[in-house]
Amino acid sequence: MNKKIISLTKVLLKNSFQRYNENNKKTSKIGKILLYAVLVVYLIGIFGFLSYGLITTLQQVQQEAMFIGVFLLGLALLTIIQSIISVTNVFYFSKDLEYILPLPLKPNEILISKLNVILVTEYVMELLFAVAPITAYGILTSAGVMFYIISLLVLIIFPIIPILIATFIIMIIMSFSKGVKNKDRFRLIAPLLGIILALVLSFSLSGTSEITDEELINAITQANSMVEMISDKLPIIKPAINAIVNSDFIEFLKLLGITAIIYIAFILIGNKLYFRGAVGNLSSGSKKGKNITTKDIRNSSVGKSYVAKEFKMLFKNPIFFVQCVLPSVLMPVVFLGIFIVSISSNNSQESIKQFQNVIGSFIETPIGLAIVLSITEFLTSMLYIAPTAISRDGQNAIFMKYIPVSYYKQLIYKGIPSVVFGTITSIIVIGFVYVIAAPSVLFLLTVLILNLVLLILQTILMELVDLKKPKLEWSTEYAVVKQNLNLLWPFVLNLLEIGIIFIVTIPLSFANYLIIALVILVLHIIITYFVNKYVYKNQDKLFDKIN
Amino acid sequence: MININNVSKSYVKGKKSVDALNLEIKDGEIFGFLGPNGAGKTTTIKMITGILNSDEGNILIDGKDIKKEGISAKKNIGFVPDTPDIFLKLKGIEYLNFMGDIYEVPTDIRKTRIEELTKKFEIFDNLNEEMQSYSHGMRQKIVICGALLSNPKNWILDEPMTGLDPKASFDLKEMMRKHAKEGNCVFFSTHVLEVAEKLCDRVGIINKGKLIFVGTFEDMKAKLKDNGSLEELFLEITQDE
Repeated sequence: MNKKIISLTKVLLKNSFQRYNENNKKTSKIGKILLYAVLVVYLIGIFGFLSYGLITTLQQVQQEAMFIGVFLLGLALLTIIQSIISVTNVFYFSKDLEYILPLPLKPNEILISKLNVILVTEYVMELLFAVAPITAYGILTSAGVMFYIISLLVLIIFPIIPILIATFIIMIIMSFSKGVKNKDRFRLIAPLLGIILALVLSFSLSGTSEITDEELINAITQANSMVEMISDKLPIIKPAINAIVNSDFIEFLKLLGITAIIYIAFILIGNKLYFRGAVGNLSSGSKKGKNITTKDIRNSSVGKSYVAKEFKMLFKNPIFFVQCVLPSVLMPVVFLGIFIVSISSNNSQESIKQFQNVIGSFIETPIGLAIVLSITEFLTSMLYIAPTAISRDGQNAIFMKYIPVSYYKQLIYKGIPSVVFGTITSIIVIGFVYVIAAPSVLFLLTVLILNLVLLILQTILMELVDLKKPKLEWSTEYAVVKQNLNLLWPFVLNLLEIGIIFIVTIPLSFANYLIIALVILVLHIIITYFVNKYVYKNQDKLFDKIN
Repeated sequence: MININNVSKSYVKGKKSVDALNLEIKDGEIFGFLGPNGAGKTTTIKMITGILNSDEGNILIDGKDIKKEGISAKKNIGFVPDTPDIFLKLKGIEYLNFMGDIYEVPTDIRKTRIEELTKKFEIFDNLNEEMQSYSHGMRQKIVICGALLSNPKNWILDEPMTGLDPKASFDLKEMMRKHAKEGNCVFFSTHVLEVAEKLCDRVGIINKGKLIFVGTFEDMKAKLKDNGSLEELFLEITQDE
């Protein structure tokens, strides 16, 4: 890699990684590092724990190798979906291209630097999601040093091809952007199209090897056959699995070879494809509007107008919409949709009814309620509206300080979109619960109300997280949402919340679910009351960092 | 009227960015705030508008303490920040309606003011476009229109002429004069000494956080030895410190 690429990569990375507020010198650096270390360890611990459970279960049927297969396939899919969103942002939406294009750089130097940025982001993700499962596997299978060395090498090489696939999909879509009039809307649709395309591709690939019940039984009885089945989908999965499972260096070299060939081919094609789409993208929103009429000048209340502005800023900014809103709304549709389709296509009408009866009799119990609430909690942890409520305004955040509206009210207005979109997620989940379990309306209503109460608390707490460490100095919107450590907090808080729900539920699991609902409701209303009181009392102090 | 009483602010312990500042900007007056880069101009403006809290002293806007009665004090301020890149995804008209709502400007007054201000600045025809498509100067103009929409008594403008074309700059100066003549108060910071000389009733010069001169340009000239150019005067004052 030449010097130019390395220094451009460094600049692009520095530009997007979080810079802490210069004024904030009171809290020590060690404290910050310690705090995030605890968060990271906490998340790694959870993934480690989950992997431990899965591997020990698989070990009982001597299928532990299957874990690596499933894990790598999951990692590849996660990388593709994540990269689709990152690529649209880093390659096409960031303002830096306007400054980079006039520099004496070769197209492939820019392309490789931008790919490097995505790769580094994926390595950070691997640190969170991949280290624990691999280590758990190594310990449980009493693997030797070679296992860890080869696993590390595989994890370094493995994300490259999924990233290239994602980049290629987006490049193809973006190359059509030149003729499009409303660029912002196109930017919003592009990653959506990309994810759909990636899902369709993976389904059409898996469609050829659909697993029936019989095959499943066979697969479990025949060692390693599950792994074989998965590995058909991506050329890198098989060598990666073999390299890790058998600590086989030759297989790793195979993986390296395939990756190198595809990488070189990609750079050759990518050069032309990228700049065709990217240059067409630079000029956006310059269309001439019609003159205003007196109807366009209208009055609203302060609150209504403020909330409307918040929604507009989310909807009109494709990066913010795609990163902060979409995951929590799209994920339930994708996952639950796939689930419903797979149940209804693989089973007879009667067996569906039977399935519904089993779930239906179980759903209206305390544990059933806790599970439904946990699913929504998990999904809304991907809602990044509240933890970026202040940061999204960037340097405009000082606006909040000089207008004649109290900070407390502004925080409430800023939180409303988060509660609205969280409620949409909750309604999707409720719809799904209704389809598979057909519980009573009372149950569904209970879930809706509880979710709302949880969401309100979650929103206020996440706004506090953002106020504590706002990321206001950014030149690209991408930096606010992608490389922002504050966004670990929704995960942590919601996992904690799930824990609390179960702690309340388990000792009372013999009771009616409505009693549990009441306990959760009252508990959260009390907590929200005190948090709200704290925010109201300390509003001036809380806004100190915005200046 | 703006009263700044013994105000200090430091970002780093032991180093005051603004040091014991005392100023009174009377009604009917245009006051120019001058000083080299990093002298404390923007910090002062941020404290006047409530963006920053002072460590010591108080600031009164028409008798209302910006710290204690922030909301009612802010209602009397029209503030133009130094960077006009604000809410660029909104259309011009959406931004002005939003500002009108925040400052509770009644619809009929709003209609007249929007038309009057935007036609004067020649951006009326662009109001239905997103502000991200505006040039720097147009953005500056729309931010000024937004700040002046509610016709606040006190105008606080941070480098308002930056990016404006000569006509817009001329119009803004005229508006500032008219506003002051109507018994209101205009406080603005600038680097352009000629603008300050022609426009201001009084100027204040701040250097290293300390106010080193307050008075008219005539006072300034009289205070110094020889009748040099404006730049020489300015340099002499700030270098002496």
